Amino acid sequence: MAAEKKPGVFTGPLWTNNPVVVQVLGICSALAVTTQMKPALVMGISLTCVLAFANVIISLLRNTIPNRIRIIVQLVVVAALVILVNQILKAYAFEVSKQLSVYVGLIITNCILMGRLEAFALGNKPWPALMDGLGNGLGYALILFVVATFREFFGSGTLFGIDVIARFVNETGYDGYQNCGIFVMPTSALILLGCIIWYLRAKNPDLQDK
Amino acid sequence: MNRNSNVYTVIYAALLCVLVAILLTVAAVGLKDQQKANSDNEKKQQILASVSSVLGKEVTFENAADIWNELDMDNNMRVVDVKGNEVSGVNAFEITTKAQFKAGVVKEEAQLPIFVANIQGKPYYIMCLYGAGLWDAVWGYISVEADGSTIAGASFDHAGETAGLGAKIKDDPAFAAAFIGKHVFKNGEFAPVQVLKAGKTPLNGADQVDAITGATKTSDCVSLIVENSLSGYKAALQKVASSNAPCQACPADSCASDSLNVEPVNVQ
Repeated sequence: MAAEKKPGVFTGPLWTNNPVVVQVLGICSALAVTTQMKPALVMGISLTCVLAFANVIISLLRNTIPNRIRIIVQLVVVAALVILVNQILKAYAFEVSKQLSVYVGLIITNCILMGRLEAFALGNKPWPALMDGLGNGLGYALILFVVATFREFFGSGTLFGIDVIARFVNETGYDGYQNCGIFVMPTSALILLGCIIWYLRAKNPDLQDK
Repeated sequence: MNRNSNVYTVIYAALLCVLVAILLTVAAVGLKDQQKANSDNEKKQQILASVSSVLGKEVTFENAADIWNELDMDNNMRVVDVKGNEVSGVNAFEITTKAQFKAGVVKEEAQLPIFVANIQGKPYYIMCLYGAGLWDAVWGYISVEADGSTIAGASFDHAGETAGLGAKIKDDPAFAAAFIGKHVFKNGEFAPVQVLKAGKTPLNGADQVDAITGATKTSDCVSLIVENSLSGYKAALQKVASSNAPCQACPADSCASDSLNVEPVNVQ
């Protein structure tokens, strides 16, 4: 099995084949849940779990799934996992589940999931599928986290809910600081994502359009 | 077995559905109690947040249950109808606020909860607010002092107001705090506090709270919600006011000292 493990299945999606900034999947939730770091982190972890499990399950079932209903089977598996995650969050991480609210449900429609299931899990053994799921999930989480860090710091002046800027202002006595309102809006996430894609492409000539 | 045959496909789909259904049912039933406890706790937090300034501390998700028990809130709630009569046999805490309103207006047959918080020997009457915001539902709680008119605090929550703008009704403590000391009745008339642009004064002489800059629509909605929701409590509040008013029937000396301490009622 180890011999079949494709190189870069896990590490590739973290950066050079990142699902968000290279494959440009899952943009909608990257715009929506990145106003603060905590929900972004939880969303990243939730998606990683769902994607890893879904990839393994679909990979295990890949030889039994009837070809004509494979998309629906994938959807059922994903939906069941997402509902499970949502129920567990509601029971044990209530405040986080409130902040995520509809976005947890939106994991079902996250294009990364269907994309990876259809493109990878259906044609690979469980172990590489697990690695692919973890890699893509963490790649997504990484981008969300970076974007959320910028947005929370400049938009609300806080990091993980700790009011760093307000404390700094209090200590130095400098008055008149205003948070940058646009960082609260989804627009800023799009701009930040654009900057990340720009940087990534500048560093990796392979990714540039010929 | 032929994976592309119709029989195989149908059986496969049916089996998958049954398995998934069983799995989700087990999860839903197993986690139900914990989820109910969480949402109850959140409700307690929101109710108590409307008297947080009287309590002198912030009510958080963590300490809400403790404060709730400390104030013995479970035994200090009642249900009233729109005529102000007490309804018995209904648990005020379990009432679904949403179901008591239709199109933003209190229903005729509504059963409205009142939570009474006795803090430092004074009662505070907490009432629920509900209505439509700009994008989705907005709800909250508002507390009044023993005179049934002076607002002691308010708390708001919403399902989908714009983050950073309309969402400030919840996120900016200054908005809810601005309701403190405002009135529900003015000169004996029902004229609840309104949310208006800074500097504007309501025509009917009601008190005013500054609207949120950039969230005029949400502010208007909150104003309407407060008025509509409290109109259902109007009769109950009048009863509260008359039962708590300095007594006129009893001998003057028995309550003279009390009435001196009680806020001057109707001096204006």
